[in-house]
Amino acid sequence: MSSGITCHDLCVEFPMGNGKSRIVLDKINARFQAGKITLITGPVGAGKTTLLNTLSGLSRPTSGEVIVHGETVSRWTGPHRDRWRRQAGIIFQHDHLLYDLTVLENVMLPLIPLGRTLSTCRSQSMEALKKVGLLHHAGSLTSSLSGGERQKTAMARAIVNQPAFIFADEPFAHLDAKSSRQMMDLLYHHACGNAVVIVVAHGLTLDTLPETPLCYRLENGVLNPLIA
Amino acid sequence: MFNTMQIWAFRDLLRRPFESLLFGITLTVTLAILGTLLLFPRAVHDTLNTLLKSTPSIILRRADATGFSPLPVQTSVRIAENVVGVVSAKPRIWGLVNGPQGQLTVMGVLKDKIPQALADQLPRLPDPGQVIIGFGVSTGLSADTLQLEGGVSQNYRVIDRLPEKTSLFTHDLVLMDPEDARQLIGLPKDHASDLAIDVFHESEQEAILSDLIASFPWPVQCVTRLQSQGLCAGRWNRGRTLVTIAVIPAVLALCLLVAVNTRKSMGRQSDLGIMKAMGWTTGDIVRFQLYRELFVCLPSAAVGICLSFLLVYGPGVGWLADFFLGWKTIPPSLYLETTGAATVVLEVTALMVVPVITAAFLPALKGATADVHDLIEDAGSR
Repeated sequence: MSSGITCHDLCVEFPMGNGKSRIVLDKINARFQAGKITLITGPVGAGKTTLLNTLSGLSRPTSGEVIVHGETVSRWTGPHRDRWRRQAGIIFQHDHLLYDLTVLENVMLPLIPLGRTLSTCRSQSMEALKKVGLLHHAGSLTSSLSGGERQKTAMARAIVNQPAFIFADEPFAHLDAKSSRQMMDLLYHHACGNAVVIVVAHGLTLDTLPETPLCYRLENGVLNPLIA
Repeated sequence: MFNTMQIWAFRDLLRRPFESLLFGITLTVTLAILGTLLLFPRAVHDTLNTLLKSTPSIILRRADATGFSPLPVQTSVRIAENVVGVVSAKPRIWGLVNGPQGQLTVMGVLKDKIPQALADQLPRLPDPGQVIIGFGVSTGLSADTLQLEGGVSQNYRVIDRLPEKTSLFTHDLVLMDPEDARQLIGLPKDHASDLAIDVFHESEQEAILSDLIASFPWPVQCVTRLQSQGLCAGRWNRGRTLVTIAVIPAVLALCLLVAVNTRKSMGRQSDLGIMKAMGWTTGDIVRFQLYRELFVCLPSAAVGICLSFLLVYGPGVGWLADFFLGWKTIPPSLYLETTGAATVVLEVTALMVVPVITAAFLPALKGATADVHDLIEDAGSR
């Protein structure tokens, strides 16, 4: 398992089209520990999703570094980052499921390129679906699911491979309090297995959390610790 | 037998079964047409070449003001055989007459002058009133009687049929007694249609022509095997040009199919982005796309090529020729030369494999250079 993710002077700027650029992340220095849940909050448009995308290697920072195991992942080429992402589970703000696949097939997706047999992939995926309580929907098309069920499917897809890193962007947005609690327990369980779990949420109540997380607030491109 | 990625690719095809089936069928038909267009002229060329190799070195005919006239057999053979370089001179009695379903070639078989191609296939020679017919000759209503109409109109008893693979020459040939043949085509007694002359060496064909023509007391016209081959080559080149023109629409149709398929794959860039976010590398995606394409293209190519071979070399399927081309007679078999046929298979395969690989690589390579987040953004806009 990992020992954490460190970001050093992480900057992300987006061009605005008139020769100027908008600074979304401004020299962020932080360390996201393994074994704990890290919660990042902030107002809408603060750059929480951008930070998560940069940490998970989905996009490159304008400057600065993301360091994992002493390796500067942010400098790696695309294929290396793609391969590294096999250790990561990502839950997107919009579920980003493949709608012409069944729930089970969506969950199996991260396992297919790993060279495991189809039956192994299938049983692992069924196990993940069982954890999120969607076993009865395994054969359904994702397009037939409700928003909350899709979010649960995305959660199952993120945890199916026992990842060392989990990046969750608003994972409880469409869930009721009970389901949110269940999903948070699941993330906590993975954190206890020494995974780095980073959750981005702007409306999360602390009573949903099974333990006191490391909390950060992102505002105006600056990340500040909220609760130690 | 199949790995997980291959099963996943096949499963992906089954998600749109009718689309995949339609693509497969269209590809099969296009490749069959393309294969037939490439194979047919080559088969004709190979067949003609093979046939010409077994023809006499020189064909000599007597010419007059009306065209050609009969040759007196004994005088002609004697004169020809006296020319230095001539090994043998055989008189041939042949001509075109009307059969029950169109024109047929009749040939009088002289006992000691049976053509080489027929020598092994003739169990017996036809007596007067009897005929041996080629595989493609239709006898009409009666299976054992053939009515022929030339100088005279007469019925002949069919005593045998030459096997299909004897030679393309024998396909519409009617072998009969020489006197019957003369009577039918209007040749006087002891006269022949032409002389088949063999020379000692192929290079002598042109050299002895002038001596041969000069030695006859009447005007004669000679055609050498090399001249026939040149004539065929000229026609073959023309045919090849026509085929090239006909191939263009088929190739364009193939390109269109592949372009549509590539565009479809490119339209799934957001899906590729999600797959990459889940840890799929560019290599994995290429493999996945390649397997998916090959699952359709390989069977299509195999069936398409087999169909084109069947259409060109399997005219034994008479109903096919009748249905598509309205041929009432059984069409002749073309000669299959391994190297020529293999070249066509390679050409068709290359025409299919290159675009298919492009279709598999292009979307994945485009995704390889783009930011994964940018690829997924496309999905967010759905």
